[in-house]
Amino acid sequence: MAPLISSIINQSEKARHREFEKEVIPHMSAMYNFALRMTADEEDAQDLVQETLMKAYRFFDSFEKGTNCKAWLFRILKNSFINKYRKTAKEPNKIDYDEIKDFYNIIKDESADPNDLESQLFGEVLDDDITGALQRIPADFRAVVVLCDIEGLTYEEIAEMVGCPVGTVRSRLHRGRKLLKDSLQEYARSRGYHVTENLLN
Amino acid sequence: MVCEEAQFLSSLLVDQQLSEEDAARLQQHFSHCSTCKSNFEEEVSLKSCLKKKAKAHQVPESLLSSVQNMLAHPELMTTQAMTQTDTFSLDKLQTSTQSRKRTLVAIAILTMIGLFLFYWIMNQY
Repeated sequence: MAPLISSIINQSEKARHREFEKEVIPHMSAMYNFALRMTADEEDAQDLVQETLMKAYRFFDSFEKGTNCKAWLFRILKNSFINKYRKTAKEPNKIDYDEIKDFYNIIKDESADPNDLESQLFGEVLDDDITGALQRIPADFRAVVVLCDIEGLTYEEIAEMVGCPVGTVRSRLHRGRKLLKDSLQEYARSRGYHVTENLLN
Repeated sequence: MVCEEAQFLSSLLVDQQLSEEDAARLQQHFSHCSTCKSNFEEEVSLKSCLKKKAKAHQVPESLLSSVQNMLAHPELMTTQAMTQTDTFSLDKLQTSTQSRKRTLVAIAILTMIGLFLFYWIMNQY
């Protein structure tokens, strides 16, 4: 009797394992990219993905089959990130944006193509600048901006992923973009570009 | 339309989540409010900049191999996850001892009231 029971348990364990592989592994790349944008460090991103996978494996029974697995995983990832990095306070120093605004004068670049608003606002932007600029905005805002503008997800999907109402996603997105704009402009200035602070003038 | 509403709606327009009717109202507001219009244009520029310039990164080999290793040895995942959940249960334990203390105090007070009432009633007769 005992071997029979243990073999049944073994079988169900194996089925669960297969199911996990089938559901979770296809989202590895998306998870890694999201983790990379959140941590801005390859090693930290790898650790975060591994931690997420372990938690997902352990709590796989709580995942409802047929629902959005990616959203479930991203939620675990985001919560792990918030828990871990709030504890260790590893996030880089936040900037006082008002101070920067006062500190820098508005310098308009005469040579910039007036039609090219992007280069007028941000200069020549590299992927690393985006990662760096994202690090300077609070994690909750960072997550929604990354999910919406880089991963191209809808408000509803983001709400599910970060676990808050759609209205909150909208307001965080609005505020997050404003902060990121300032942060990216800061990068552009530090790399020697003369960027317009706003398009009003 | 006031600027506050326009600011809120323009974020939705950036993400193409706005109804045609609201979009038309917003355009009308833009025609006489250059601040909101430029805010909108900046937000569009930021979004398109992120879309164009942010690259998708490849999953590093080291992560792939360690995940494969994890999947081949599922016991690794549960034991390591266990140590992480240990802190969870520790928190729970602390809160449960706290609530136990509270119940003990409540029981003590109730017993005292009960004894007091008992003696009081006995003295009446």
